[in-house]
Amino acid sequence: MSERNDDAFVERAKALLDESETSLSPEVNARLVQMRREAVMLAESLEARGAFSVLRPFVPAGALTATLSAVVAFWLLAAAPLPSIYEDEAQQLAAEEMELLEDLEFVAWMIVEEGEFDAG
Amino acid sequence: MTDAAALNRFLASVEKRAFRMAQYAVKDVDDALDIVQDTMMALARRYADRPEAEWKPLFYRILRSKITDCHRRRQVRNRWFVWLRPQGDEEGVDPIEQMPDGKGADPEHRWELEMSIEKLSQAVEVLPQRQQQAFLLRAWEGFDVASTAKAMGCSQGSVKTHYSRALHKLRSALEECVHE
Repeated sequence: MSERNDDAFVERAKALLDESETSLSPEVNARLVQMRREAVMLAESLEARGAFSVLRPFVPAGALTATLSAVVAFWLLAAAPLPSIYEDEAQQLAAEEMELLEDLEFVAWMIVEEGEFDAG
Repeated sequence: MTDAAALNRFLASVEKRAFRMAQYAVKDVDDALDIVQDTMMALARRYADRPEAEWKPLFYRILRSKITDCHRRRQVRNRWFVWLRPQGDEEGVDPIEQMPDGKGADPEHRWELEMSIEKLSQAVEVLPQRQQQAFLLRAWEGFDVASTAKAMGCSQGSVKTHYSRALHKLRSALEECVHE
């Protein structure tokens, strides 16, 4: 397949995809507009609260304070462990192993989906 | 400083395409809308103060991450609840059925166009995730290899491989559609 043929194919595919973009249902379009407005309002509210400009010069000190607070909190918690939601240690271990298994299975699924096995 | 007007313009320019990309990936209208919403909110919350030129690659990187999260939730849910699913229940809605009646003056041409779109959509939907992402970002969004690699969180070599394989599969599937 020549590069020129690929370019022609891509150009045609792009035109079809552009057409599909313009023919969304009114309901979907309305939802997208609403989401966009909410996102812009969120950005504006954060800006108004000064989350970006006023606090920015103090972020390093704030980060240090947060870190120290976390260290102190962890030290206090370590002295008084929270009650486990599991009846016994075996049950907790089983739950943790299941989470790990789910992660491994998900990774394996992703590998297959991405077609990254290349025997060649 | 956040330029609300610029953010609004940017999101308006990508929202429909992002929805279609999410829909191709998860094959469900509601999930696709949720993904786009989460992506917009994440961009607004964390990156609205970044230079405008950075928004697009960031947006698509977040979109990819949200799509992956959706797949992961489905994997976990399907493992535990597949035996509860009613027989014959199909997830998702055919995106072509969502399309309004053709608005062109030539109904036959409109029908042919819709059929082509449907076939292309179906072919894109069945691509492996990475190939689908590489194709849509490179061919549709017009990203160069470097920007695509950044959005996909992979190497430029991987982008080229995924893109090449996607093109090959799509051309094989659509030979009769795109050669007029």
